[in-house]
Amino acid sequence: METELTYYPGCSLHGSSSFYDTSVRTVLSRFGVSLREIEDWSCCGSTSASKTDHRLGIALPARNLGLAQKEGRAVLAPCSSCYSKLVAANVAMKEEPRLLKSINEELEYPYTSELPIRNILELLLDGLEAKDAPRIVNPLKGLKPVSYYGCLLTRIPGYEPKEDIENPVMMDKILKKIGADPIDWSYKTDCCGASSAVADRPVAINLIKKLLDEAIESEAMAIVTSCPMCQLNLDMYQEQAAPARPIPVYFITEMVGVALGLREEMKKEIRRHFVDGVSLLSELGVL
Amino acid sequence: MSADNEEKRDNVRGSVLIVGSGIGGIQAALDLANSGFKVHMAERQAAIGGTMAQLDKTFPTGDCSMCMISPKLVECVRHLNIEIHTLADVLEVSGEAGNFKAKILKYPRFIDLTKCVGCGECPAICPVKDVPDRFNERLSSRTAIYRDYPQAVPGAFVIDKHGPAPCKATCPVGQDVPGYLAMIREGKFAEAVEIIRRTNPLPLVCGHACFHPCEFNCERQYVEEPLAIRDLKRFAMVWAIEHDSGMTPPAPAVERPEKIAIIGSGPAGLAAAHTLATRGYKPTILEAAPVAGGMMALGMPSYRMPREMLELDIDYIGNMGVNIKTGVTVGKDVTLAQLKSEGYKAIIIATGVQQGTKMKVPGEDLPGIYQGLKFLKEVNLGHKPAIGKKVSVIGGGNTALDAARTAWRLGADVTIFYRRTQAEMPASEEELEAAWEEGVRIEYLTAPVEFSAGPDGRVSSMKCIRMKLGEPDKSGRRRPEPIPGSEYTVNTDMAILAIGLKPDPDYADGVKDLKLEKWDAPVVKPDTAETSLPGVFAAGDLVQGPTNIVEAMRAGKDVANVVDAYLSGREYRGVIEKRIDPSTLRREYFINPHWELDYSNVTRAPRVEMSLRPVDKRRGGFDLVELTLSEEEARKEAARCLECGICLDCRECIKACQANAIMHDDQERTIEVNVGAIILAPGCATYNPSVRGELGFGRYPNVVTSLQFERILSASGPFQGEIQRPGDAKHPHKIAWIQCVGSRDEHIKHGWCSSVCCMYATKQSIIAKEHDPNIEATIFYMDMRAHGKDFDRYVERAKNQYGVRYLRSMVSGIKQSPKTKNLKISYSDEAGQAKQEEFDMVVLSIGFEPHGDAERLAKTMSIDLNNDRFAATGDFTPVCTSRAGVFVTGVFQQPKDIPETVMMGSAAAGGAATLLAKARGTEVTPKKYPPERDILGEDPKIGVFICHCGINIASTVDVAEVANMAKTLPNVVHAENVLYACSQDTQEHIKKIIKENSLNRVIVASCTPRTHMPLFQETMKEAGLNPYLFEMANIREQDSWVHIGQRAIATTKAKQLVNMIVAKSRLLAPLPAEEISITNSALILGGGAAGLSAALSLADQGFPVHLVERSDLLGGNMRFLHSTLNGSDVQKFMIELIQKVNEHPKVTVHLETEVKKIGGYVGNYVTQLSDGATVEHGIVLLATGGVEYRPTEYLYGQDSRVMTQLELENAIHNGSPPKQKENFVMIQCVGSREDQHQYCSRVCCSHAVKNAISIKTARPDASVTVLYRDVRTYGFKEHHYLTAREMGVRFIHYDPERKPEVIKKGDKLVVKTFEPQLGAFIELPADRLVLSAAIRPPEGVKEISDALKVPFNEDGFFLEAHVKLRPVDFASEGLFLAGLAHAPKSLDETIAQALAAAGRAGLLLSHDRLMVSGIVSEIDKEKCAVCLNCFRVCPYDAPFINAEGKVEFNQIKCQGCGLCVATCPAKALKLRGFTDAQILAQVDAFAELLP
Repeated sequence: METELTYYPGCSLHGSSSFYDTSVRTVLSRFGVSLREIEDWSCCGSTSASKTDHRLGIALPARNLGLAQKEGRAVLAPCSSCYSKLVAANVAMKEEPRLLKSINEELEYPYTSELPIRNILELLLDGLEAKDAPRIVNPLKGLKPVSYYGCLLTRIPGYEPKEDIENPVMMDKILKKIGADPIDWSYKTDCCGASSAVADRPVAINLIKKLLDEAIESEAMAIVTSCPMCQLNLDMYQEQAAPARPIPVYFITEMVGVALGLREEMKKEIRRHFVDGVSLLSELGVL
Repeated sequence: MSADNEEKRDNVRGSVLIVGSGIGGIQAALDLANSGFKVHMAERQAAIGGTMAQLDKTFPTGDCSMCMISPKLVECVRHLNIEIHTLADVLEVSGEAGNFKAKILKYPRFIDLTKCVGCGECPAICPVKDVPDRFNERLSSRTAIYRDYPQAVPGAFVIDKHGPAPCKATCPVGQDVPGYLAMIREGKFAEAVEIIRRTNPLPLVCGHACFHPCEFNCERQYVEEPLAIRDLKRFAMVWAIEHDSGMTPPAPAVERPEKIAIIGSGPAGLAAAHTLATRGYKPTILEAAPVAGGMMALGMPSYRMPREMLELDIDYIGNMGVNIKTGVTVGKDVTLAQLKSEGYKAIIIATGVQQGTKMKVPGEDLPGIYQGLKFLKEVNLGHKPAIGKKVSVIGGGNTALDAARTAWRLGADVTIFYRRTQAEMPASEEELEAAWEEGVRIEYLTAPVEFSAGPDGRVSSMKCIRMKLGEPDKSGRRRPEPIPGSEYTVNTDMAILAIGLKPDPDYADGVKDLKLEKWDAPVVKPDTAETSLPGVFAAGDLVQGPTNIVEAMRAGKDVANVVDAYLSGREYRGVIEKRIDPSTLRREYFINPHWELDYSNVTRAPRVEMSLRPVDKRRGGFDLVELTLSEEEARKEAARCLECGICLDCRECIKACQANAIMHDDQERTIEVNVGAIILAPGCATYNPSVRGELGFGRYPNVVTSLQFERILSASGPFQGEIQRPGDAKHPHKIAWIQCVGSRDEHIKHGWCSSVCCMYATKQSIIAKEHDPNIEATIFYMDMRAHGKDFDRYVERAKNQYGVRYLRSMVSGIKQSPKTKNLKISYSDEAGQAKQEEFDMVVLSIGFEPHGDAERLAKTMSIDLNNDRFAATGDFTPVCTSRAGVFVTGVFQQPKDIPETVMMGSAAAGGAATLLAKARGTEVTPKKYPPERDILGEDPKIGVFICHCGINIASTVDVAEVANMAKTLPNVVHAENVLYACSQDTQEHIKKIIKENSLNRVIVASCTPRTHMPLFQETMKEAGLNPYLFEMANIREQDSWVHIGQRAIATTKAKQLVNMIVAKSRLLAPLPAEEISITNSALILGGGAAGLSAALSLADQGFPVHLVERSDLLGGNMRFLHSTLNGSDVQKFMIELIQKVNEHPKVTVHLETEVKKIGGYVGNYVTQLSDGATVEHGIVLLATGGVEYRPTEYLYGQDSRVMTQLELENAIHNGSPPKQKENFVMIQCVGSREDQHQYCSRVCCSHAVKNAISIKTARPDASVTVLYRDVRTYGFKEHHYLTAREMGVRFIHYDPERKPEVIKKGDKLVVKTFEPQLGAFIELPADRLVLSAAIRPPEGVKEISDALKVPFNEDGFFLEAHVKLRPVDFASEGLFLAGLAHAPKSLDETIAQALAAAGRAGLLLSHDRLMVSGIVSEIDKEKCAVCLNCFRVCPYDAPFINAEGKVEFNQIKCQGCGLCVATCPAKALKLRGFTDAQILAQVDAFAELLP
């Protein structure tokens, strides 16, 4: 596992989900990983750019990758959307050298190599499986969550996924490693509605409701995710979606953090969720 | 022909190799073997039968698949000229067409085929019970010793052994570790001890102190931790002591007089003595020390090697007759020469290594500095050496650890100094951990450079230097290098050096005649362990350097084996087996195609550890540290074994097998066969749907594959035919089938259509509903491809009669409800709406794919594969591969169904027979039957066998009750019920019963005599009885199938049927079988593709052919075709074919000729032709073809722009190519699939696609729209359908209820049709409107039918003998059919069928004589008034007036129909086998049991 990574937080981790940013940094430092944020990073080209303009959808991540290339290290993008855009741009530029050339002509720092791009799950699992892994001092015994990857993490155009698209298991492995007992369900990679929560609320609420209902039907105590958009949608719109009972929606980093004994640090972040996530963990005696 | 070619022809072999044994291979094998060729059949599995044996029922007739194939299997295995090689792979093929040499690798079965009787005792005792059952598609488990199903052929069991398991393979003494683990798990501890003792001379020692290489290689470590193998051995052996079980050695089988001396009683010497004692020798061990055991007694501390355990092992060896003399030093007390003179024929030196290696540093010899081994010896002999307070131990091996822990126990403060790091330390990890726990300190990367003495002259301090690791040395470990200037000093008052051992030079004095290495070990030959003196051997650590107990034991065993061979006068080189390199083990396992190292579903279970004596109780004493496992712990731990080698080598089956058939040491063998041709029939794999994660296969338990569902339906399947969910055994109510899983999917490179899935899904839904009428069946499909004969009617029946719901849709994914485990299918319907529906169970209709071995097979055979990795064949040569003499049949060529596979099997056989025509009959052995027993004057002695037919009969009829009733009937001397009467086992059983009871009548109550009579009659002949002394009662078709759910009624009826047939059989008499001669020529009707191909094939086989064609031209429908879908030139092919036929010396072509009159019978027809010729022939082949329907609809014939596909094809090629921007509209199914013509014409979809592509190729701007009901581009034709779509051809679906309308708008033609996606009607302008018109039978079908007495179906196509298994034969012998006369089909299929018919016909013509049925009419000339009534009713022209003016019957023409008997007013006629007396007896018997 790398000890130094170039860090691409993306807009969510600097805005609506800044507590995810905190838990990512805190937990990774426990693994001995230091993060260096890309200087002057810009939008990853998520929804709007990539849907409206193919070239722009690649040029935006290319700009960020060009900046990252200066550092010469693997890039971490915790947000699923950022991650998929960076990876897809990597693939597209390899396959379309002319496009790469034309984009590079406009970039201050052209992107020439192929940087390894890591997502947070790979990193956490590597860290937990390493020989010198930090000890799980506070295993999440009794916690039965469902793992929720969202639709973006495993579905990257042109990219041979490292995991089964429909049934990825990395997050479940992480949860098992930290003492939780994840429940298998069919909705691991279904859509949360993403930005349609802003553009077309009823459509998003429909999708969110289905996910919440199914998680509760599966007798899950909580939903764990690694995507800030998913966490936001499932957490923020529970009132509108009105599932049978409220269900906490955690970030995977928060779970790992708690298990590593960072109780207070994580509690501070979990308090910032819309749906109470503190009580459940307190009842289980881990927070 | 040149001399060279002549010679080649002379080398033509009369035998054929068939690779694969599914129904295609079987058909080819039987055809060839029955026509004079020897057949070798190589099958990868343990039994023949292929996929068909796994199926439940077949479509569209609903016949039981197993019942159909089983007689064929039996016929194969019984056939004298078919040699079956199971568990075989073809490795290499050399030579050329006519003369190939093939190397076949035969994997071991581990069971002697000639001895196994299939009694089933062995699986009952096999401890391995969780092997996923391949035959049941992993829905159930089986044992390691198994056979796939009861009717399997050959019927012998097989042992599934992927061994040796790594633990066994890496055990130096080859312990059957998995075997004793299983016995411990089962609580059979005595058996465990027995297995351990089998190969281990020192089991108690090993149970306590073995280095356990097995555990380092245990597969369980890939789940979590290896098994505690050593601890389990210890448990078993301690149990043995406590229960005094297996503690007394058995007496050896032989006694050997030769005297053998073994010098040294360490593990090598003891193991050698033990091995020799088992061979009957009584060796003498000479031990210098006062106690026996060598290092085990002297070098190892007793807290890990308890002395009483060692003594028990030594006593055991002593009890075997080994004499152990202690206190005898060779060299001092006795010399080698003396031993020889005392009559020792062989001497084994196994004195080990005892001398400590010097460090070569100053002060090394100071008082207070010990050699490690010497120190331990002192302690072990009770000499109590003086112990310092601060003890330094130098070294990192087990001796260092033993010395350190011993010194600690004696009260010292101990530190170990080691020059490398922990990773390089040779001592075992558990030793290290224990030392650590006890408080022994360890300093790494340091080494002493000098010892200094204190004032008392004893050692007082030690100067050390720090080390770092450099490059790896020869041993692969990184070499330590001193860090200059890092010296430091430690105080120590005692130092123990344990850095290495070598042989004690003292021993050399006694053996001074031996040549020695420079390190004092004797020079030995590595492959024999022999020293420079004859008869003197050396082994163990002395030779190989310091190792460990079990390695030394191995050396002892090895040398003992050499000595035994030496003394027995056998070659003793090569006796020592090669060692297995553990690092290659896993890799080699993968070579086995069945091996799966997938432990993802194994539940993690931590290793059960022995409890330890607390540290504070260890000091001051030498008690065992580790405490033996309890019984409960041991069984729990043993249960963790993954059984990765499957068979555990426990050998319990040997005890169970009465037939002595088990051969655990069976080896693979390579054989070579010399054959003239090769037929490839390896079948295909089915798609693994877990690749498509959205369908949840492998994740959701209630999602199954279609093949799994076949097994679920099957009576012999995992649930005995009950439909239940694998997840929870619940009965599903709503079942969904999802079509095209792994077919028609370019994303996964499976672009082809698998051809059979639509039909099998339809069949499965019907059968499921027959099993349970409450089941609601839904089939999600894209196009319903029912393109076979009578298939559309079957689908209509499923819809209308059974209520199966067909949903044209695209499925996007399946979700599982967490609580109910029901499945929610998301799909888009025909209008493109997203929908979801919940089901209890989902069946994935998986398609075919080339099996994993296809590429290897192609390479071996040097044949080409197509882009889809199926065997490449030509459009006009459907059974020929790219290599001459190598033919192909079945799904390896293209996905297809059973009749086509059978057809191709016959065609390939025909191809091979043509090629090898010259050598026919040269390599076969004729079948000989025992002489027929004369039963004249015997009372009837009847045997009755009631068949279960799996559950086909037994689930409805109480078969036991029927058998009991039968026993009470007069003359019945034997009655029983059997699982499958048709299986090979049962045939043998029936023969045995016939013999034991001297039976003279046999009755089987089972299925229909139509398919099974010949099989049982064959059994009668083999038992020496006339075949007509056999009778059948049909209690399946006539009883169990019609009275499902009415057990009482069905049972009563079965009894009646049996009673009737018993009554009849009392009156049976042996009937003579007539033999007739045969005219070896053929008459073929029809000069199209089928007739021409068949004519050429038969002529090439050497038979004269008369080809009769009604028109003035040969070629048939080929004349209207220009290219095939693949672009091959049909005209060129046709012209060449016609030329070959015309020029062939054996073919006579009769053009513009019809048949005037056909007379005669099989083998001897005489036919008058309209051209005046009269021909004699042995067979008739119908190839009368079909015609394109002239439509009456859609303005055909009224508007010149409306044309048929054939007309369009002609127009495109002849003067009217597509014009710029021309609009083409094609309408499919014109005249097909309609009320009056409820059949699919099969070729029209591909014809439309072909023409659409040629339009688009010529004019990309032309527009082509195809209005279709289902696009039926089955097989590889699907690729062209995709191409057409990619080229912009539009396909719009229509329903028969809403057919397109053709409207004339002014002078424009417009087609109005409903567009389902839009949900609205659209209008399409048509410059040319093309109708895909049906294929119709030609005129004159009725006349041919009347002349030849052959049936046709309601559509006017001739009816073959059996739609699945006899696709080119008619029910009457000597008549065959091919091509469109049979059913609509494409050109390549027509050619294949023609070759098949020619092959089948050739089979018949190849015989000089023919046996005919004994069931014929017989006339009582005294009663006959020659009224000629029989002449009028006989359909076969059998009666004739003989020279005396009396009526006589031609017994060959007579088919035994009995019409004449019924019509004879004088009762002068009787039908043999159906006499009045017999029938009346049946009627009386029927009345007897009436309620």
